[in-house]
Amino acid sequence: MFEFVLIALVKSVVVLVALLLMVAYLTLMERVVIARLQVRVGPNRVGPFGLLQPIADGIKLLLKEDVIPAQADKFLYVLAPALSFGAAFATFAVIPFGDTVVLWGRRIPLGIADVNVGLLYVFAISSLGVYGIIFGAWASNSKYPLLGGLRASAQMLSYELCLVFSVVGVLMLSDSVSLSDVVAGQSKVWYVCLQPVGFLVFLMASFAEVNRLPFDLPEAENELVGGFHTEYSSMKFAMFFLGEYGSMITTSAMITTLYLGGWRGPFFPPVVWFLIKVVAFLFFFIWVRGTLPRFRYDQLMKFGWKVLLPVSLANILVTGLVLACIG
Amino acid sequence: MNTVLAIINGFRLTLRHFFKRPVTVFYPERRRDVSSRFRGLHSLARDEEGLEKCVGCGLCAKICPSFAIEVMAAENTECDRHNNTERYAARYVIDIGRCIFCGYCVEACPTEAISMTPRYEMADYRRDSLFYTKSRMLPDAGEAVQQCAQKDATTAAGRLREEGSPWREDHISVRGHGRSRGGD
Repeated sequence: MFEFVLIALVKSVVVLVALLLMVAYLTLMERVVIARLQVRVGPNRVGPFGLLQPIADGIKLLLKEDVIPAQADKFLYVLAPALSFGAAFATFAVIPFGDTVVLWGRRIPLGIADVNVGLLYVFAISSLGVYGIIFGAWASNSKYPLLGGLRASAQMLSYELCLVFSVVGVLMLSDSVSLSDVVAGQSKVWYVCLQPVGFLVFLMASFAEVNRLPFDLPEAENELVGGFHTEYSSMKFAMFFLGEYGSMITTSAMITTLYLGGWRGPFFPPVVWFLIKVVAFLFFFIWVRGTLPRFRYDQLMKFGWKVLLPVSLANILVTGLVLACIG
Repeated sequence: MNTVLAIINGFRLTLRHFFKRPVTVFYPERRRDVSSRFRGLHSLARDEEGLEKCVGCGLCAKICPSFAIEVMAAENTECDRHNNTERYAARYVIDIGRCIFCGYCVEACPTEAISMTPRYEMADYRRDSLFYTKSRMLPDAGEAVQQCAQKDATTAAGRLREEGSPWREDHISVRGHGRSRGGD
């Protein structure tokens, strides 16, 4: 029992540190890739190739004055960034990022926990992330955050529906909601080949779920200043930032696990394959940001309810019919 | 369908840009070449004899849309001779902090005394270093002129000519143009 707890603890610490490092360098990667997409060079002054830029940014944010608006609801105002940060990283607990390895005579599965309700857990936690944004927006007691928060809640709730529906196809194929079973089910063929429509819907809905362009209406810096985090400064702002980039990573990891065979791949060790796929998706996230403009709010809702939702429902129907005919 | 094609086209375009060479010029280490007609910091000219071309007419100050130029003319005397005309600019100051680099002063100058150089790095830590005086804009004088200059340092005009007195309201009337100073 003690050994089990210890192993789980060590794994969580290692994963958390790795994730935080990834988030830090994801910000650098985003700035450099966006720059290159715009034929610029991006940050390259701090350290070799700008590699110390995230550290400089972190120090700057830490040393900034921490402002809490006088009319803010203090409890919720402080809770919100923590919620948004926590939800983003808690999701990673059930994602398997490698095969079982043998260390010091013990078989250790790579993945913090293999919960048999893995997918449900993921969606439950990512729904909690919405609270971080809404609480932050409401507690700020200010116009722009409130507008951003209202948009965020409507957007994230309606796209979560499509997100869940599009995954149902995968569940029907793998016969399990445990993510390690989903990965095991893709040993022959990746689900992206069997579920191309579900994959596309999931991809688009997850953009809305992590508030990235073209669905970044909760932030919409040109109309809402900063959206839900307008009033936040210093480390609290950094927590929102970490949360946003953290959920970018977990979403990429989810897409990898659900549709691209997770850590499976030839030649390289499983963890490397997992990282390659995740980074590829992170690049795609940034690439999309460098290409597409922001949706208008009514377009966003129309797209979610009138296109993505019917398509994902039809996808379930077709998958069920085909499975019934074969099986 | 058209929308989807347009989106895919957009992705192709940005990806092509990704593999292009960035257009960034690494500024402090490298500098861009400026056009030959670039309008940078002003300079005052001398003629072939090493005398100042400026006759102190004040047309540049008059046409300047941002009131950045101050000219104070004085009579040339036997020993204090700056050029072969009657008058010269005893005091000539451009407040580069006000200048908008429109080049009207260059166009207005009847003796082609003022021109603009390609120099564009004029930022400074002190406001008073933004006042460019005659001595900072004129090229070094020939020897004959310098000998004479030593003498006139004692004359009243010489003292006036020296840089120093920053921009002051009472200098405006001296500039002699009839325009009001707007909401300044």
